[in-house]
Amino acid sequence: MSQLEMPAVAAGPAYRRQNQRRQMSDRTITHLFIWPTLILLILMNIFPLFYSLYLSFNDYSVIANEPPKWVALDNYEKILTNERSRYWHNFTVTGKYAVLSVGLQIVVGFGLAMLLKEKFAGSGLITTLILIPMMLSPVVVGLFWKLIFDPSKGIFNHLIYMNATGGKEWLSDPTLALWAIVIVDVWMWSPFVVLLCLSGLSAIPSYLYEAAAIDRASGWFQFRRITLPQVMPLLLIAVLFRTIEAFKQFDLVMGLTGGTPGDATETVSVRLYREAFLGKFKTGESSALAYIVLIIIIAVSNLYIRALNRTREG
Amino acid sequence: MFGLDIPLPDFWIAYFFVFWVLIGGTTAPVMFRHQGHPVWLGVLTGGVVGVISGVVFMVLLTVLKPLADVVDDPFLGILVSILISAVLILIALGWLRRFVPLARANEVVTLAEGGPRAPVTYSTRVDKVDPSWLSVQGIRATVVVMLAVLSLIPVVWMGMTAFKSRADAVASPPKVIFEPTMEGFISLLTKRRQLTDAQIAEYKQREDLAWYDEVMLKRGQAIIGQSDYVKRLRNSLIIASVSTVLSVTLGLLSAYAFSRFRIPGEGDLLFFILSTRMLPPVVVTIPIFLMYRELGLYDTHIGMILLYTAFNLSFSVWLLKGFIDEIPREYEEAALVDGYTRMQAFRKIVLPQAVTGIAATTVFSFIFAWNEYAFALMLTSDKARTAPPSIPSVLGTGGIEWAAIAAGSLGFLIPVVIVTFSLRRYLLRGVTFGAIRQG
Repeated sequence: MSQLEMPAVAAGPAYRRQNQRRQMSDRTITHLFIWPTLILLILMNIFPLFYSLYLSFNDYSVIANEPPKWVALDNYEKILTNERSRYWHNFTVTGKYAVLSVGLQIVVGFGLAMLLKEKFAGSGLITTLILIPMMLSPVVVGLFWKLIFDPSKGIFNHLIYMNATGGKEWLSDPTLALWAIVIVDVWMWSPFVVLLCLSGLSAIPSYLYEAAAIDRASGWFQFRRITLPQVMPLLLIAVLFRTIEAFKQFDLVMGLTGGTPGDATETVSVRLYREAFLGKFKTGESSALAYIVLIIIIAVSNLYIRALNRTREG
Repeated sequence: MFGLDIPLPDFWIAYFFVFWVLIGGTTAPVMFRHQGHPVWLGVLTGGVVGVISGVVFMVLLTVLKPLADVVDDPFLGILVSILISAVLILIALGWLRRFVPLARANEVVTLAEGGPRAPVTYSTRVDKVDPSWLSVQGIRATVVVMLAVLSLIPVVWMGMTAFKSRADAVASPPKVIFEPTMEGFISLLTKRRQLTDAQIAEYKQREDLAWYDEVMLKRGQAIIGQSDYVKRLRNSLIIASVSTVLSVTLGLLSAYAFSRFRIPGEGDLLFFILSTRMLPPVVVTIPIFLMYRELGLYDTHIGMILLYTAFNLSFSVWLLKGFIDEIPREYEEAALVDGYTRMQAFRKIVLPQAVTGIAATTVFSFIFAWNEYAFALMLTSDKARTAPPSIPSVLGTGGIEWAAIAAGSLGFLIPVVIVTFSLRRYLLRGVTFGAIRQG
């Protein structure tokens, strides 16, 4: 209210000058509001990116006292062609893990969402309960599942698996260890797909189904021709989002297996950590590896953002 | 049981019995009500039918056992036989339902010909009050409940392990029934010294023992101080809360600017902001590690706070922009016309309207900083180390302290569970950068 009265009381040049000083233009406000964010992001993300690009062309180790030595593309060549350093193995593991866990998450998540589609008494509570695993700390989850998978002390073998086919050494068998990570990841992240699918399903206009029901379309037909195409964009987003996350996967693997047995579950991120921060601290080479991962992720995130924009518009 | 050789662990036998009883209990009442019987009769019959179905299910599983040899993989064999048995029983139940007799006229309360018993007073599709649809709904609810139970077992198990003694936690086979103790929590939070027998006897004489001293005494240990974990937890709390406040404040300002003003290259800037979150932590840590070492920020609170703020910022800008976009511009414009300055309009009009968004963003940012592991592992060593990378190191001396790990995890989990419950409406927005609204 006082705002309205002010000009009447204190008109004149003195007031006007004061008012001009106090009232910033929209332009100033825009700058003032945006730049702190941008500066912080540039400082913490862009500068490091360029720095590591530079390092990736050098032979350098943080623990050695020598300055970086320019080697051009040697690091990249070593990663992409050298058989003995087994970088391809890490990419294969990551790829296998990504395909398996994203695929299963989509199936489980979409299935659950279809079941939860129609509300019933307590369905809200159940939905929230299902979502709990997603909010947990991945490293803690990984660590605790280590106990669950333990062949003699864990509940996984004893409750779920044992009498059926005999217990298994989940974390020390190379094939099963990857499956163990997939199982935990599916347990943890299917809720995310459920959440996305539920929001997609609830957005489908009900008149589509009513029209189909009047035309006596079968349930399968309704699912194929109405439900699936309508949920597709969100399913796509779920796939892309989870794929990006799968390439970033670090915490869960570190907590659960740390890359063991041998290097059977060593994802790219874990390898990167090992090269950069353990043993020889191969800073240059790991920067190059980081850049390769980065290019893959940028490609995938571009797809993600495009799909996102399409759903927001559509 | 019953001399049958059921190819399933006891857990699953119990699980499927509960499943069938629930199926019976949810579907039979629908049929009974439809035929004009009281509901309790339906529930009762449903329970009995459920138990019978469970027994039949087990018999079918035993009969189908040779299937496992045919399919080659025993796990797959059991899965297939479970599916076949379940479908067979469901078909049988669907066929049996037509034998539910029509109630005699004097017992019927109201029974419209072929319609639902009670009048439908709300607007709905006719086929959604059809008994077969309603019973499918019952089956659907049962399946969901049973799956939810399954997915919560690890969380519940974590809770149980946290209250177990060291011996119970690693018992083989795992103990479901145990004597609860606070040992796990105490050993997580304290440093202890092993006592000799003579010392234990002497220690027991003392009068000034607190309850936690007594608990550890049973293990022959004396508490000599706080463990590092307390320090780590404090670090977590400081770093997570300061960085959350910073990132939400900065994010709110930028989100407002992006939402209300025309900014050249807005789309590109927003994309840039989002893309910083897509970077795998491991990729950016190498240069940040080098940078921090030069600047003396390695293993400091400020370093971690800056890092988490930057990482959460992208997220908070996107999430808050979504919320602010929803506040009608007209409110502010009216305020501007009335003589408010832009800043006043922002403070007095936009902020109060965006409170739910701010709350949601705060909590999601906090959870991220609270759970973060990779950066903390690589950029701290002791002084500023947070809790997640140090929970594994509780593994410590004298074998793995699973009870302590579970206690740490549980303590870590409780705030998150509370948050999940209070935020479920915003959960979807939170995990998709605010891009998708929940329906």
